[in-house]
Amino acid sequence: MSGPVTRRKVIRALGVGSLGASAAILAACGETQVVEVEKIVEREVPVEKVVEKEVPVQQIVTKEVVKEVPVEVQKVVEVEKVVTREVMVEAPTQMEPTAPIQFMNYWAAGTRWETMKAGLEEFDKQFPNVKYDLIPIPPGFYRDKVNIMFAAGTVGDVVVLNGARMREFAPGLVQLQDHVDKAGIDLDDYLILSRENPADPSLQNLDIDGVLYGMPFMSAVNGYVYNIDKFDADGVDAPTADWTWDSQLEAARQLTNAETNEYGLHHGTGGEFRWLPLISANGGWLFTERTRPAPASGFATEGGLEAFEWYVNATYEEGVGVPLGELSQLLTEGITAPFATGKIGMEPGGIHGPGGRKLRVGGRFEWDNMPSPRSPTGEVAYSTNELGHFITVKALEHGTVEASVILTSFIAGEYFQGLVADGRGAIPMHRAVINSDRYLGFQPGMPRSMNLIRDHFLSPDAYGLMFFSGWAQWWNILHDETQPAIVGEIPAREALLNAQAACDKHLATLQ
Amino acid sequence: MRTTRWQRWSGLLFIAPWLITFLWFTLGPFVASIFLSFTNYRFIGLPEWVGADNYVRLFTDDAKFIRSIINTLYYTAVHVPGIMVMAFFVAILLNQKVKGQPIYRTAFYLPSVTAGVATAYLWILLLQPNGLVNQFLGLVGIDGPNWLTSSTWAMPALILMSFWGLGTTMIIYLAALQGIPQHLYEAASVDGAGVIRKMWHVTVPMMTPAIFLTAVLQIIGSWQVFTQALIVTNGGPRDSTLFILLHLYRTGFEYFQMGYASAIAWVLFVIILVFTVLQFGIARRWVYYEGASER
Repeated sequence: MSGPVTRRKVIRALGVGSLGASAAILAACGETQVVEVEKIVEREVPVEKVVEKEVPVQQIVTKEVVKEVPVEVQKVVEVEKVVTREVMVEAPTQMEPTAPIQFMNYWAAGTRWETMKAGLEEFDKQFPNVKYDLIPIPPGFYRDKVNIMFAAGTVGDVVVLNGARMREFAPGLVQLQDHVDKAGIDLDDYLILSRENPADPSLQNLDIDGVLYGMPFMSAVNGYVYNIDKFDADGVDAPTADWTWDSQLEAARQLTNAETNEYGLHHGTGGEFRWLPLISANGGWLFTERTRPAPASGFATEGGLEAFEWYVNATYEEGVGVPLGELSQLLTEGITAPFATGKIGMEPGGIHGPGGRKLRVGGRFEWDNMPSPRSPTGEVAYSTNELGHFITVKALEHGTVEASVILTSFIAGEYFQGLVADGRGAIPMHRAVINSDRYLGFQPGMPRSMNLIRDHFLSPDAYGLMFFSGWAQWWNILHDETQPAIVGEIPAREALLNAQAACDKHLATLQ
Repeated sequence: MRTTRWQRWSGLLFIAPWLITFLWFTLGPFVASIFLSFTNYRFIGLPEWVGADNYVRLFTDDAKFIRSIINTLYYTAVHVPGIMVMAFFVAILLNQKVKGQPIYRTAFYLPSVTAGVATAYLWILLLQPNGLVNQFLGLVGIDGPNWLTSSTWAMPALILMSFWGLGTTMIIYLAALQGIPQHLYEAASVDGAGVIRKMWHVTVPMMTPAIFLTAVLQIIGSWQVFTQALIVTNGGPRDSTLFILLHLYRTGFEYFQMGYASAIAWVLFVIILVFTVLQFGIARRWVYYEGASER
């Protein structure tokens, strides 16, 4: 309260205080009470005040009379109407205390760490008997650490895996369907892409041919982001859904000024969210068939070659992309992401974590997601990758399977995924949450077009990475052979054809 | 003197802690890996015997393995003589009685005790196109390359980085220098030898045991380069810095082919063993041990 403490304020405070106490008492009594507070309407009316003043004048004597006129002062005061309604809910069944779950996760920094912490705080309240030892591991070390721990037999009870490692470690993972059924969990509440589109085997990231191994946790999808301020400053119209690759190239030319180290595009090295979707949108794909293991690679079709050439040539022929060797000149102290420098007009990549990009951009400029430009064939393509929580056989040894199902289903559930929607560090994997205003609504510093993330993820043009045993080696070969083109050492066409040959040699050993 | 049974058993008892640890953590995995190298073990499930298939595949159907051998040979051929020569001259400099000598010795030795990962990240910054290395080259009119993104210059970048850790070799040479009897230099002076002749005919011969030791250690170490290759270049660009140990690690822990990775490990062991045996074999011709000629 500001200003002097008046009698009116004291009375009001006492009233609100007693109101709160009443509500608490009534709630403790278990009865539902609706408390209404009368609205006090006050209106201030200026009071005319007459002051008597004696003036020593010989002939003129003026007498002023002070007269206080009591008037009704009406003041409009808004008082929040407090309606307390207690809803009786069935408390979650508390299981017997178990050994702590060894819970390995890589949401160990930034927005994601805050989300994990907040979620687990609520979990502790709802399930006080389910104990866990959270083992947060930095993302850069997580994969190797889990691999080594699997090899050593010391892996945690619950780990985060992608579809590739799910298949490698499947004999060491617990099949979840029976446990999910026993816990009464309705999988339809969650977003599991292989259930959304069972006809596409590439989307099996949490199950193997319908056998469930993983609980949903997070997902990723590609798209483009663009620098609104740079577009405005350079007089370029905002991207629209009918943009093509040609439109994008033309815009990139207008956004590029080599003298000031400003570029229309930044085409990085990673294929998953950058050039592979372009290949997939132009008549190529990862493999020739959606079978496991795939018989041959499918990215070096004529359309795929055209797409990869477009991607590489944008930098080295058109000059609208940042050459890799000059990237360090763009970056300054504290800014390690090219797009966050504000000197890049558009950038393809994963758009699933705007919370992280918001931190990197740090409010230096306005940015947003943009519709993916269409290929010469008129198509677009979106690469998705779901990660799940998997329960390992160590949980069987420790007797923590049931508890682990409770933990992982809580994380997949509406409360935790709602926190994910707030922090926007990943795509929330709950059906209600991904369609809610909580996720799609505007937050300062975040892109306005959050709907594009959801639309890409759930698009019929979305595909998975078609994981199989031996996929990791195929992926490394693909990137090893294509990188020389992306750094400008060899022509794009030559690099992609080399990649096709090397990848197919590896795939032949898996048949 | 014949030992009693009790003396024998008490000796074993004293070395038992080390022996048990050695058997459990060294010899055991050693023997297990020999077995696994003849299987297709993927560390989930049971290993399946495949005979010598892994070894055949290594030399006939694994281009990356052959490339890793060539890369490691390249690194060894440049790094080992380079670091030995540099460490030798630095040791000679640090053996001079100058003001601040302990500070100089500390400064040269400190990098070799710095954590490998931290060193690697530091050198990533130094080797950027506009990093300190290229800035220094620019001072002398040389336009430095894109060290870490060029398949030509990535390996020289790692070799350059390796010279920063010459401290360990330098310390060994420094100790050896201080063990050279002064009367030898005096006798050489009497015979009219200058600085260069003294170095060639007194210092170097007297240091041959230390040189031999460091040659053996450096060759063994260069065949086991891993941290720098993983952190700085991750084997790229285009496998130009794919070392054999990195290839082994990827095969085992990224591709889950533990049996095949075990075979790579044994081939590496044999390569290092061959180099070491060769060095010991030719050491008799050039290493001078004081007092050895009387035998």
